[in-house]
Order: sequence, then structure tokens, then C-alpha cells
Amino acid sequence: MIQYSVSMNRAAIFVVVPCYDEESAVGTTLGKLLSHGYSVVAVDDGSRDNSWQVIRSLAVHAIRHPINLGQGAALQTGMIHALSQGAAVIVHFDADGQHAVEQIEDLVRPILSGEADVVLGSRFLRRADAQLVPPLKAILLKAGIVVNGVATGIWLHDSHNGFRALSARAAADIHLRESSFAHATEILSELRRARLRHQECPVTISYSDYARAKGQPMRNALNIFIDICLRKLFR
Amino acid sequence: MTIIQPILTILLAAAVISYFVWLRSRLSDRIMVLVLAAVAFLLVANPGLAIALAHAVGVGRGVDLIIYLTLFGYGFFLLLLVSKVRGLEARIAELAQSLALATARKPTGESGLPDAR
Repeated sequence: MIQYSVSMNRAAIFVVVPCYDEESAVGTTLGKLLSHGYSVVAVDDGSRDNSWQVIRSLAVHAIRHPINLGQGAALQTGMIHALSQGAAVIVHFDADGQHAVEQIEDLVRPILSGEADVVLGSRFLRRADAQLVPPLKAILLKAGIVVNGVATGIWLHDSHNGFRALSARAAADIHLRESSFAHATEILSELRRARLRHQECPVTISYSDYARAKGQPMRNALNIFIDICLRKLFR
Repeated sequence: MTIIQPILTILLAAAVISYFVWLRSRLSDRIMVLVLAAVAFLLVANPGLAIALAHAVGVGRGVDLIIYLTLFGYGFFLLLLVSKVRGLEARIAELAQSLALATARKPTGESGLPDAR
């Protein structure tokens, strides 16, 4: 097992930011990450707006899918690139500004100290964070916990939280084939298959009006459930 | 012979000929189509056979037995199609990802291809 120094240079921490039609938010998000010294891989997933122009204008690793493939595929592309550039730790981070840059350290710490291969953000470990989750969304997320638990055998306190960190070894072992939002469940399946050690870490999700408008619509919960079933059937 | 029998026979023959002329498929698929076509021809030529088979398995009418088998066939075909579409989607995604990675731009502005946009 590779042990990393806790005081690792932030440049070795690659933050992968999938982006689809986020021209009004992605610049701010990437700017914050850069100002904290992280290496940033922005993956434009075939946006129809000017997201790609915004990404290209910044000092980030910029990748563009020629067609829209979905968040899972964008994360996989970003991870492959980050590994090829020598990433020691990879963080998944949303482009819409709902994740807190300051909390990346909390996610990365157990990996750097060798306690975990993957650290998953959770909105339900602290009362204050849980109270920020809209009630209907909280119910769907709780249902998602059950679906994920039954589908993968891994029972967490949160489901479909896109804020997570992976060691380079874990990122190399995980292969996301699920292009859609069901990749969050696929990651758990991959964790189990590759026998990776995981931990949960409390994170705060900021539900701004923009993030609410851009986030997964409630009806997507059903689509995700169908995708998970299809994956079980045809894998 | 009823009027519908030659019509169904011609339609079946046209469908089988079209399959072999226009669709590339594996040997196992071709054998399955030939077997299904032979059964269909047999049932069209001898409608009493469907009734006898239905009674043998406890179904009241021959047409009901054929409907049940057809529904099962459609279900199987649908699953096959979904599986193939998912496989195709995965291959397209791999292709698009390879293309994207080959044209990735580094923070320095360096890219995999001269005109990566």
C-alpha cells in the first residue's frame, strides 16, 4: 500500500470537475480551486453554451467531450487524464458551486494518512449539514441509501453525493462504465469489487438557487433507479 | 385452404428472404430464424396443430397459445435490443473519451492535437 505524506503539495491533488452547460458558474468554481493551489481537470461534457470557452481561458487541464456522455463518463475521462499527469489523490467536485473548496482537505486527509482509499462526502453526518437538505430531496436521498445498500452491499449515510476523494490506486482500479448519474452507485460496486477501504466524511452542500436549478431534478431519481436495475441485468 | 393462408405464407416468405438478404447476423441467429419460420409455416398450413398443442399444455385456444409465445418472444427480443444498445452506447462513450483525452489541453496551453477545440 502506498503511504502519502499528510503535508503533500496541493498540486498533486487533482480536482476533477465535470461540467455541462455551466458557463455562469464554472469560472468561479474553477477560480476558487486554482486559488487554493489544486491541480484542476475540467471536463466539458459537450456543453451547448460557452462553458468550454470559459474553461479554456483558465489555467486548468481542459478536456471536452465531442458529445454529451453524462457525468459518470466525464468523471472517468477526468480521472484517466489526472492519473496520466501524476495525480496522487483525485477529488470529484461539482461545477455548480455547491461544494466547499475548504472541505477538500477534510476529504483528502484520511487518504494521505493511509486510513482509506476512498472518502465519500456525506450530508447526513452532522445535524447542521442535514438541515440544509430540502425535505423532499432528503426523503429521496434516504431511499437512495436503501437502493444503494441493496444493490451494492455498502450502506452509507448519504447517497449520490458527488463530493468524494480517491487515492491514485483507487482511481486506477475504478472503471466507470455508467455514463448517467447512476455512476454514484457504480462507484460503490467498484469499491466492493476492488476491495478498497472507504470512509465517510461530513460535508456541507450549498443549495443556492442556481445549484437547485442545475441539480438533478427529482424525477431523475426514477431514472437512476432504472439505470441501476439495467446495470444489474446487463453488466 | 382459406384465403388468409396463402397471404400469410407469402408474407412469411418475404420476411425470411428479407432477413437473409439485408441483415448480417451470427449463424446461431440464422438457425433460430429458420426454425421459427418453419414453425410458422407449419402452423399456417395446419391450423389444427396450434389447437392440439394448446390443449396439450392446458390452454383453451390455439390463438391464445400463439399470443403467449409471441409475447414471450417480444420480451426476449426487447431485452436483446436493450443489451445491444447499451453495448453500442458504451463503445461510443469510449470513442468520445479517447478523442477528448487526445485533444486535452494542459494549463500551459499545450494540447494533444494542434487544433484542439
